[in-house]
Amino acid sequence: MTPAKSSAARIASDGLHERVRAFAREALAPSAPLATPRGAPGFDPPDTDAGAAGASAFDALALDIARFQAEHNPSFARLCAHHGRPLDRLAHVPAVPADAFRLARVAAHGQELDVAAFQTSGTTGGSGRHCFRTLDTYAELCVSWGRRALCGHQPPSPYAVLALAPPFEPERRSSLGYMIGRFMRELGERSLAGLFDVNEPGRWLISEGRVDLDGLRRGVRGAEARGEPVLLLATAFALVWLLDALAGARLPLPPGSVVMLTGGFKGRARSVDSHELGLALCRALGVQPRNLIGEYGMTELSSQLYDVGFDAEGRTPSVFVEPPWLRVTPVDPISLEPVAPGQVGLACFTDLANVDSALRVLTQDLVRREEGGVVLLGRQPGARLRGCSLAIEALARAEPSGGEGASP
Amino acid sequence: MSATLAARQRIERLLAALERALVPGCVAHAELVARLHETTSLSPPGVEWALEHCLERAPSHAELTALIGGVARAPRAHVILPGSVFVAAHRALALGLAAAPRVFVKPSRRDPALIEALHREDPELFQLVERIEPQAGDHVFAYGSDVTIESLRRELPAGSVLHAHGTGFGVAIVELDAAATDLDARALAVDRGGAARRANGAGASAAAAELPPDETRLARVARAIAEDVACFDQRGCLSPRFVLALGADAAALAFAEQLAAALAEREGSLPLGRLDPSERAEITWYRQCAAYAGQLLPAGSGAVSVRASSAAAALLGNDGALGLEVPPSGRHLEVLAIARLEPAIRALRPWITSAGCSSARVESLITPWLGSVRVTRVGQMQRPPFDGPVDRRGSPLGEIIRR
Repeated sequence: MTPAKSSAARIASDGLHERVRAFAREALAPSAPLATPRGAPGFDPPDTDAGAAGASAFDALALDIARFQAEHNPSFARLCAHHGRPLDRLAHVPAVPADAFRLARVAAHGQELDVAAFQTSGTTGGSGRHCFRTLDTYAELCVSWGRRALCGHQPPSPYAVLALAPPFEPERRSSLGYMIGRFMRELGERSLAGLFDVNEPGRWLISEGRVDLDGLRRGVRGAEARGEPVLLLATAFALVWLLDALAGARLPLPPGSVVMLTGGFKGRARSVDSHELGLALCRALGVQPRNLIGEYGMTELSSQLYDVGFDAEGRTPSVFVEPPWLRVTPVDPISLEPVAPGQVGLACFTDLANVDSALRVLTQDLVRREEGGVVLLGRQPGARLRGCSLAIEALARAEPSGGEGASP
Repeated sequence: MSATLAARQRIERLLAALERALVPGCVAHAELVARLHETTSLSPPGVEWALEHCLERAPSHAELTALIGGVARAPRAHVILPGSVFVAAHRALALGLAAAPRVFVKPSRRDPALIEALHREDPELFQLVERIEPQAGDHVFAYGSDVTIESLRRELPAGSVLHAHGTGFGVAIVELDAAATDLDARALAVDRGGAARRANGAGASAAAAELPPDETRLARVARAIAEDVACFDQRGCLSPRFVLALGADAAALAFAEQLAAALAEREGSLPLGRLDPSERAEITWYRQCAAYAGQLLPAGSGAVSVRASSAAAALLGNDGALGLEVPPSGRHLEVLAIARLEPAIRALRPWITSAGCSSARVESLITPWLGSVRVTRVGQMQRPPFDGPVDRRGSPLGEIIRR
């Protein structure tokens, strides 16, 4: 890219970032409607007219981002040419397969402008990177949607934010680690002892593949002393480690505490039924089921989805809610066209926050749309295994993970 | 009677049974072909072609000796057949018969036609079973994906011996400019211990001078690779999925175009068969990836993608084959432009079951790097000698299961 073109790209990108952040602020303003499941804590009921206007604004912004990416990313331009359709409507914008992040650089800017490169879990040996020219949009949007999903409409109250994750690393390789760090900064913003420090020991409670149970107990005692609830951020597998470490004992969190659970057991020798895990966590940590909240994120995205709490009776599957700047469309795995309502398809994400990478990301996760969100149904058979749990654990243990390759 | 002689007699019975099933015009033959049309998903010409060219009906004495000599003896053998390549049942059964007087075969649910036909011709030779029940000391020959094999490994009893043939693929290796690849020519000279050649590369120049002009040569190579790909619609573990194209990016692209044309042309006489929904979904996914990460050229029903040398080197260097998206069956190939052959071969080596070479000198060069893996000329990848398993990556002694 020539310096002049690079400069033009940067100006265009900055403009788009600003528009995305403005879109998000408007969509999350207290008076704004949100299309979310009924009864979801902290969510307002939808409003049809305003929802339609939002959808139109979403499409317009998405198309501008797609055109920007086609202009400044030759790989995406090639994909567009392969599909042969003009970028005149959102349905014509081709989705970049998640594996592309492993096979090529997915960015509309040069490598010299990277401020972060989050690494995908690469559970089959090959890992990819999601490169960012700026993290401003990511940081603002993950916190604003995380606050809404995890803390609801309560006034910004301090939480003691703790993570069952390895310490934040300055190389910024883990998107989940980065997000957790932002949550600590923005949702806790309080020191456990002394001045606030995101790297403060006692916040990151996994090291060398072990849960720091004493550290968690200290954190809980500290929160109780200050009358604060705990926001415990963890992968599913880390929570299993926690239960193992507790060995049947209880460690009740202060009232109003919230546990954010992400990832599953993909590619694990050990797997735990998610319902059993939820029940065990509610019992061991004393959290209300509605405060055990699932998060779904991918390194290839800049936005996250949350469910509306654990259904202790197991009657309904978790419905994950997108933020207003993210749209999930189930698509047919062969034609890549949207499936009929209620049908299962591959999750195709349109993420406005992916300004400098890939607006639309196609995954091999199967989903079905339900009112207000999507139900996750596992991986397309034969697809490569991936996952945040694995990324975090790989960092914790600093060891490569294995997996399967092609079929003979 | 010695165990070796008995093994030979069992395999000769198998070959006789095969011949009886394939007598042109007989009812058994007609029934088998009709059934294969239903079970294999191949097009009728695809079935006919495989029967004629890929089924080892008359192995040489030396090949049989090698096959029998390469298998350890056991009281009982169990064979779990793959469903991807119908002729594989023949060789797999031969290996079981070479190992043991009592052989139990679990056919593929998807494609049991050939093994059932063989059983009809000689019902006493082996037993068809729904599930295998091996005991300590038995040998188990299993073909399938790594996931299937791993699952089997967990179930086998201690003391049984597993001969696992898991995930793998074929690779074609092409010198794009035979005269210009002096680097590898020097390596070849070293490999042969030729001090004079090492000094001035004269041997390499002489070898290059024997080759026809590149355009003709490469067109012929492309047609040969297309033959290897079209066979079994690329479902077999010998089928090439990658082409390591030794030369410049532009030359690799030009060769990919030749390859795409050759694949389209071959499809005229050997049409693609049916693809199931999961295969079609894999193809869609692959094409999206390939169009994004490189160039994707239509090639009849399939496609050829091309990766520039910088991208290929990064992927091969970081993660080997797992850093790449393995092209799906249904006649898809990925051409990787490479400047140096050895690192690419070493990166892919764990998954290579067969290497097809564009020239004898490439064949000589890479054979030492690949150990016991089958190395042959392009166009011959689907016709390995009947001298042992097609996939020779594992130990011929197998793996003793311990608990």
